[in-house]
Amino acid sequence: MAEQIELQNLLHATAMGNHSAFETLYQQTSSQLFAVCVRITRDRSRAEEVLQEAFVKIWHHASEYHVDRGSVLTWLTSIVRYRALDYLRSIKPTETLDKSHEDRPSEQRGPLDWAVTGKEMDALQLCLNELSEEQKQVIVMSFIDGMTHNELVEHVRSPLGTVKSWIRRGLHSLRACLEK
Amino acid sequence: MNYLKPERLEKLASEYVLGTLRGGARRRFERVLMESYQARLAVWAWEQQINPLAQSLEPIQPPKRVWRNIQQRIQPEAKTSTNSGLKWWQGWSALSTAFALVLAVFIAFQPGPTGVQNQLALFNDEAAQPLWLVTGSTETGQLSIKAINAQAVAVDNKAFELWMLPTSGKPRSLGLMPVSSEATEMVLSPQLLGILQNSQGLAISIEPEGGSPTGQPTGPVVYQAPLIAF
Repeated sequence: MAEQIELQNLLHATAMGNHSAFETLYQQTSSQLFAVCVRITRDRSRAEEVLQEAFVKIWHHASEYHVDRGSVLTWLTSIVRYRALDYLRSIKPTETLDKSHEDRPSEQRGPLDWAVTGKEMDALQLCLNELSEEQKQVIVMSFIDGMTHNELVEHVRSPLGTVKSWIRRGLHSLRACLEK
Repeated sequence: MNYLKPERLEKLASEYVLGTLRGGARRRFERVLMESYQARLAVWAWEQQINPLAQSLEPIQPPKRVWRNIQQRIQPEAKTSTNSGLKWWQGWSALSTAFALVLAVFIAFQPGPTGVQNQLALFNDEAAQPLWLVTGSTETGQLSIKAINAQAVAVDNKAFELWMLPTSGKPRSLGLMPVSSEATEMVLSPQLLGILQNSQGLAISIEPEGGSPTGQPTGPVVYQAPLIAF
């Protein structure tokens, strides 16, 4: 909560054109957000570009944040993730994928391990744990790794219809659980 | 398709946030988000529920050059300056870009023979970044539309159509807007020129490819600009 208030103050000052507040905001959030970029773009230099674009956007749009958007970190995460997903879209399909996901950290941890490492995500953690393992896996992989339906199909070796239904039902149960 | 049926909206919003909504479907939904507060609320709700998952990632320190590049992008003028007293005006950079552009056009279109007026309209996005510049001459009826950064707002399978907004009566189409960097040039008939001279401004709507099928705006009006005569 204290963190949220501090980030809100920094964002407010950023919206007023205060560069040093913006720099502090960057210092406090960029490592977490860079991790998001690296995972989705699967490439450090692309990730740097995405992070840069996202923060330029944050500078120009800081005044558009309001509490209906959730915490400041939620808002920043959205900007970064959507920018990263747009970036994937803008590069040619042949460049999109590295050959495999085998060497990536998510493969060293099972999807069930994901939920235990976060900080302010107790409710999400509990609710993810209520999903079936398959549902949880496809949801985490789409969110964290930016995998498309087709990539998920390849990865979990199940038909498209099944994957889509895991996502749909998983999200539905997640919502129901989070709203309890 | 009705995107706003609760069940459908819920599904689209959740897959938009999750990231599995891709390609044309993602672009179309982004258009819905621009138009519908209800759709934005649905997305915001999902962001608040799923985004905390991003905190499960181990932070990675980005290289210092990323911040340097960001600084250069937001305050290019100040890269050698340490004068903090100058900082207050840097927030105005977007505005000054637009102003510089207007000034450049103003210089390029110095009034011709007496009685001749040039007109222009500049369409900006919400961050005051210029998207299109429309210039016209009341003497020759020539109208030029130049895309400046229109690609940034382009929508798949949709066109931008330009409309004159007469002080009375219905909007009149001036055709489709260019999206790439090329300019569109046209010569208006005396009748259209008359309407333009009595217009309160110009507007741009989103239409199917090829333009409005009805001769009137059918999609949302996304940008408006006053006509400036000089």
